[in-house]
Parts: sequence; C-alpha cells; structure tokens
Amino acid sequence: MRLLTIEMRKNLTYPGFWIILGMHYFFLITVLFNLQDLASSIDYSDNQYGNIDLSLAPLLQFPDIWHNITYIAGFFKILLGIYVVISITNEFQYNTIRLNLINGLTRTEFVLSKLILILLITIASVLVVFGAGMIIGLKNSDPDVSASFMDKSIFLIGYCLELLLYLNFALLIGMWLKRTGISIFVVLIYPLLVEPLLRWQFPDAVDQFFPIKAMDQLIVFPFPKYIGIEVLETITLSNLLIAATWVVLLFVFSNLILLRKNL
Amino acid sequence: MSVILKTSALSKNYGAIKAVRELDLEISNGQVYGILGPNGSGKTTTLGMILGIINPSSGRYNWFDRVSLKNALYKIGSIIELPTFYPYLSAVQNLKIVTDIKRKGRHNIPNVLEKVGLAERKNHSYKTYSLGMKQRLALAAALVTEPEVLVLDEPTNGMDPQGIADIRNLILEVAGAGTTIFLASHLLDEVQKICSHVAVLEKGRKIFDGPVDKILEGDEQLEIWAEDVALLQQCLSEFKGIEMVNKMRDKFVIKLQPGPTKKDLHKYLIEKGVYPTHFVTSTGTLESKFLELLNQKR
Repeated sequence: MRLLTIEMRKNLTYPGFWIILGMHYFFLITVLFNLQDLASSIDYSDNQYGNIDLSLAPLLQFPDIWHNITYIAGFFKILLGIYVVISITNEFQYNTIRLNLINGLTRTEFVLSKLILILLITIASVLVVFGAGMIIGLKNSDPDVSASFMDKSIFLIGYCLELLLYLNFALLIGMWLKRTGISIFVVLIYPLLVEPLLRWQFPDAVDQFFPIKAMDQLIVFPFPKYIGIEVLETITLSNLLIAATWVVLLFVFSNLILLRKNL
Repeated sequence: MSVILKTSALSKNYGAIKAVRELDLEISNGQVYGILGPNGSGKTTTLGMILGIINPSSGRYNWFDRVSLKNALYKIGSIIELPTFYPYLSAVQNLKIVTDIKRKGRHNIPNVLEKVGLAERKNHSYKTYSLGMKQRLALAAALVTEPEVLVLDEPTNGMDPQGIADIRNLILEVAGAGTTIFLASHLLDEVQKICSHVAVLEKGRKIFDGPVDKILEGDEQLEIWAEDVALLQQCLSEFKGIEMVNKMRDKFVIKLQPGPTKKDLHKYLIEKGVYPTHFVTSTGTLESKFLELLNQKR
C-alpha cells in the first residue's frame, strides 16, 4: 500500500503518464471499435498473407472475438513499454532513485514499486480489452451463441501475460541501461531484430524458450482460419508456463541488477 | 554516550582506484562530526556507503547498534551532493514522497518549509527553483521527519552568503537540540564553526581524527603590542620560553612554549614598565592545521 502510494505520487502528476497512456488507450479503443470497418477497408488484392479476405469474416462474434481483439491489442503494447522505460530511466536521470534509497526505501522495494506500476497498467489494459470485447461482442453476435461467449477467454489471460512479460522486459532494460534514449531503442529493436537473428541460429525446439518468442506464441495469428487454414485456437499450458517463467525471471534479473549497482 | 555509527575497515575500490581505504570511524550520540578532505579524498563515497547507495568493496558499518539499514535510514535525514527531486513535482509533493518512504506523518511539512524559507514557493514545481532553493528543499527533506541523525554532504554548495549563513544557523539550531550530525565539507571555516569532532581524509585514508579543540591545541598564539615598541621587543627577546612567530606592522605574534603562562609574561612586562595596549590570544585556524596535516603526509 505504501509502495503503491509512493508510485502514484510519482506518476499521477507526471504529464508523460497521461500523454503516453492516454495515447495508448485512445488508439486501442478506437481500433477495437472500428475493427470490422478497418478489416473491410484493406485492399486484399495484393495480400501477402495468403489472400485472407477479412472484409466479410465474422471477426467480432463470440467467442472468436477474444482471440482476434487480444491479438490486435498486442500491437499497441509498445507505447506501454516506452512508458515503463521512461518511468525507470527518469529515476536515474533525475537521480531521484538516490532520494528514494537514502530515505530508507530498499532496492527491492524500489523494483517492487515499479512492478506495481506494471501491474496497474496491465490490469487497466486487460479491463479495457475485456470491456471493449463485451460491448462489441454483444452487438455483433447472434443471441444463441452467447451461451458460449467466454469460451476463448483464455486469450485474455494470454494478453495479460503478454503485457507482463513485455513490461518486465522494459523494466529490465531500463534498470540495466539507465538512459532513456538507448533503453527505448533496445526495447524496440530487440524484439524486431536482435532476437529473430539470434533465434535463426537455433532449432525450433529451442526457439520457443526465447523471451519474445515466448510472448509472441501466446496469441497466434488468428486470421488464416477464415479461409479454412487451421490455427491454434487456444493457448497451450506449456506456452503459458514458459511465458510466466519469463515474467518472474525478468523481474528477478531487474532486482539483481539494481542490487549490484552503485548509484 | 551511545555509538550512532561505527565503520570498520570500510573500503571502496573503483577498479584500480582506491576511493576509500580501511576507514574506521566512530560517531557518538550528540556529536557534530565533520569529515574533511580535499576534493576526491573519499568523503562523498564514504557517505554514499553508509547511506546504502554505494556498495562497499570490503569492511562494515553499523548504525545504532546494528539495526537494519532500512530501519536506520528511517531515523536519518540526509543530503547527498547535489539535490535530487522530481522536477515536475512541487516542494510539498516531493516531501510527501519522503515522509511516505520513511513511514512518517506529513504534519511537519509546512513547518519545515517555513524554517528553510521555502514557504512561499512550496506549491511551485521543483524545476523552477534556483540552486539555492534546491539546497533549501534538500535540507527540508532531511529535517522533515525530525531525524535523530543528520548526514550532510556539502550542504552549502552553490549557495549565496545569506543562504550559507541561514543553513549554518539552522544546523547549529538542530545540533543544539541534540541531533547528531555527520557533515562532509571541504569548507574548513564551515567545519570549524559547526563541528565538535573531525576526521581528516586524504586519498581515501584517515590521517587524523579527534575533537576540534584537540586539533587546535598547542596552536595557541599571543598577539601583543605596546606604545614603546623598542622596549617591548627587547623584553620579549629577554623573556625565556617564548618564540617570536611574526613581527607585524601593528602587533607581534608570539607563541608560548611549555612552562611560562600568559600571566607570567604579563607580570614580567609590567615589572619592566611595558604596558601592553593589545594582548590577545588567538587560536590557530583549522585551515592552517589542515594544510599542516596534509603536508606532513607528503
């Protein structure tokens, strides 16, 4: 409770908090509510995804909606990652981490207070996606399927884990590099370039244990099923466990890094 | 007197550089303890270690008879080098973070801001403050929980003369109330005016520690002058057990050797018909003693 209060004092009056998180939720909600229109507006004549035409696909019906919208929502997490990085690197750049430590906050408590920030952002995002999914789903589904409307709600858990993993990854990078610009750069470039290049050296059996792969494989690309190609329409227990393990590891590493630092 | 802080062989290396070497310090309740040294002698590193922001390479330190660092820090108010606060938060909001961390009440915030002279600007964001105001807020943050111990690293850095005087008076007031103070400074004048005890560091090593009075002991000098200068000079050269230090335009500075007292000298001069118009004892300055200590080591 004390850590939550302290973390909220730091964030609620920080303009960046409202700007970056506001942008995230604005984009997220706007896109989710206009998903069908967006899907129809894409020009499918030159599609590299095997000619999947989504303009008439029932994207927003229960229970498939959970898979579809959590997949789409995952793209917006980058803004959240950037905010988590900033909230940590600011502490180093303003040297306010010293203010915290010399007044009796332990290093572990400091990392825990950042974990609280991550949890709050994650919970808020899952609630937004859940709320949007309920509203959109009710509007677009036939009443008779609504009995099974939560069938694929495991994807909400997947989305939650995806955010926790990504934001703890941002925490680790911020804690390690301390400088805002380079940390944001690494948080953006590692998942896109560095890890794919690393994974390329390894067989598939090993691939799945890399952190970003562990995150990406939670919610697989859902749309091929609309042209009859089979996709995994759930999340396997092993994938959930791999991702959860990474969440814990990334947090523990962040704590270890801070414990060893001279500030 | 109970021991507030004890360090044993506390050391910090940055690669090949030995910033602090085998430092033993002991600070007791109620002392105003100054830690002196040239720039780069390890003062800030030492304070960083005892406040838990720098991990020691070896050695140990204990606060208040071995309470955990976290619990000790709740009872300590500190300033470390340059002030660091959240730039977008006001003085009040920054102090609330400090009281929350220390699990203490907020009631003292208006009071302490008044004391350091920041009451008028308490709701302005920190980034609009001048360096002097930032230092005042740092002191406010150190004092806001009414700590048992103050740890101050160069508390008057970057302040104007009025600010320096204000801060000095505030420190003396707090010390007068019985708060133990551990102060690092390279301003010798400041330490001499405030401290009861000092430790002198050079290149990370302690080269002296003890009460300030004791450092200056034996450094007592006598300034003397009379209308009949020639006779005064003659008498001084005849009197056994004094050493002429300096002949100045308007006074002679002499040093009494062990044996004769000031009273003996005064009596002798009167008997010889010399009536001193100026007869003043001056203690040496910490500055001269400090330079002497450093030179002895070289």
